Amino acid sequence: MLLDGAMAAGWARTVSLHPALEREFEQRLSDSSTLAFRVALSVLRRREDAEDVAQEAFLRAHRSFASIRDRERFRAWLVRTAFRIALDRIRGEKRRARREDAVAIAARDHEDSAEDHAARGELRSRVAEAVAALPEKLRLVTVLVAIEEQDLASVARLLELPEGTVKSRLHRARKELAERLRWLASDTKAR
Amino acid sequence: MACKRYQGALSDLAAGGPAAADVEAHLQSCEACRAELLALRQALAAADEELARLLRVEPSPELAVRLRAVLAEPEASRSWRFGWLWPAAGVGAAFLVALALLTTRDRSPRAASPLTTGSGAAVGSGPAGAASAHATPPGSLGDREEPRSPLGTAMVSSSASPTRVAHASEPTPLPVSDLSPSSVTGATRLIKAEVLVPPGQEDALVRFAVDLQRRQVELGSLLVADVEAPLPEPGDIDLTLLDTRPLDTAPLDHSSPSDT
Repeated sequence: MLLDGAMAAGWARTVSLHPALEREFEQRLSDSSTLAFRVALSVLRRREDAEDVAQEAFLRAHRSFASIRDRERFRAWLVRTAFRIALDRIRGEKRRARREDAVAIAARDHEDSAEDHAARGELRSRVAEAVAALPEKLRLVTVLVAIEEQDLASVARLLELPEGTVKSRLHRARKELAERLRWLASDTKAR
Repeated sequence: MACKRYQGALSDLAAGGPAAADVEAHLQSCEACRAELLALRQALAAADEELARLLRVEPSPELAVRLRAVLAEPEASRSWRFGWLWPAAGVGAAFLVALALLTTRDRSPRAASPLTTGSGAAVGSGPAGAASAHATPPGSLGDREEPRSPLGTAMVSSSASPTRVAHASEPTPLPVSDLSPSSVTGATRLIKAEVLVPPGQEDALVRFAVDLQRRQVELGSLLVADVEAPLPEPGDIDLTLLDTRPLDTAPLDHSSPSDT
């Protein structure tokens, strides 16, 4: 049986939201799209890919909105979903070279000299690699702490975890990062 | 160079951990370790700055516009925007259809009892079910009037609707007489199934079917493909609804025994 227009319309009806819910969803969209984008960007490091992931996460959120309409719950769900989609996507792709090129595009400082730019690119790559090598839980905490500008209470709400757990994970993440960035420390000492 | 035995403790300290008494005492007397600790802290600060710089990037204004536009569309047409998801879903669905054919081929007449189906089809063949991967020439399943894919069962139909359906067959059991008995050995059953594929991507399904038929698809990790072995009798086969929506993500596991 072909999926004809009538069936398609019925399908669409099953996922449309009540107007009041649509307004709520619109509000969530306005105040959380940057969050979803940045979580995806932390993994994918390409603006276009991160926007695709944010879009996909919001579409999934729209389908499940009735059960996640509370703001905090919605944002927590969105963070997890965007992070998971981004990880799934990056694991399915072999675009390392393109991503590395894109890092500079995503956050280029146009005032850098060529030399500074090269050095900064190296640092950026090494930092990104060190973060990417963290276990998922530690990686997500590290990224969210950066996104939320060190506000651990906010990160705890996003992860629906006690703040103490966030602190503990952050400490473990930073210890691992310090180990991985020891090369940078040696470089700093040499200068 | 910092003292090797204190390197772990220095990382811990740099990350904000408390200093144990012995480490503190050592730091008082060891200039190299003090320098290492300072350098580690500076490295972490540089990493924080770089991460913050990357994550200060704003999404393009078009993202919100695009999202609203997509959400305003009916789900049925919206789904096709995720072209990268659909080939995978289509191939997966095609595999299920192919598996349905393979696992039901060469079964004894007794095994050809009516199957329980939902709308669409997925196949389970018993916990230890082996499958016999016989390739069948295109069109060998007989004289059905419907156009055939190279598998002989999956038909890709196009319509004016944005949704196109790779139309294997109806979800209800077919009478055996619906099959062509002339070119099929044994009592072969055709399971009718629907496979949704996005417009313009019907080829992915057909290519998969052709590859499967040519045995260019490695099935070893998915089913036991011993072509000589007789098929065991399957248990009750429960055909469930084929879900064509993208897979949802599992929430992260928040609990960790090592968390405090």
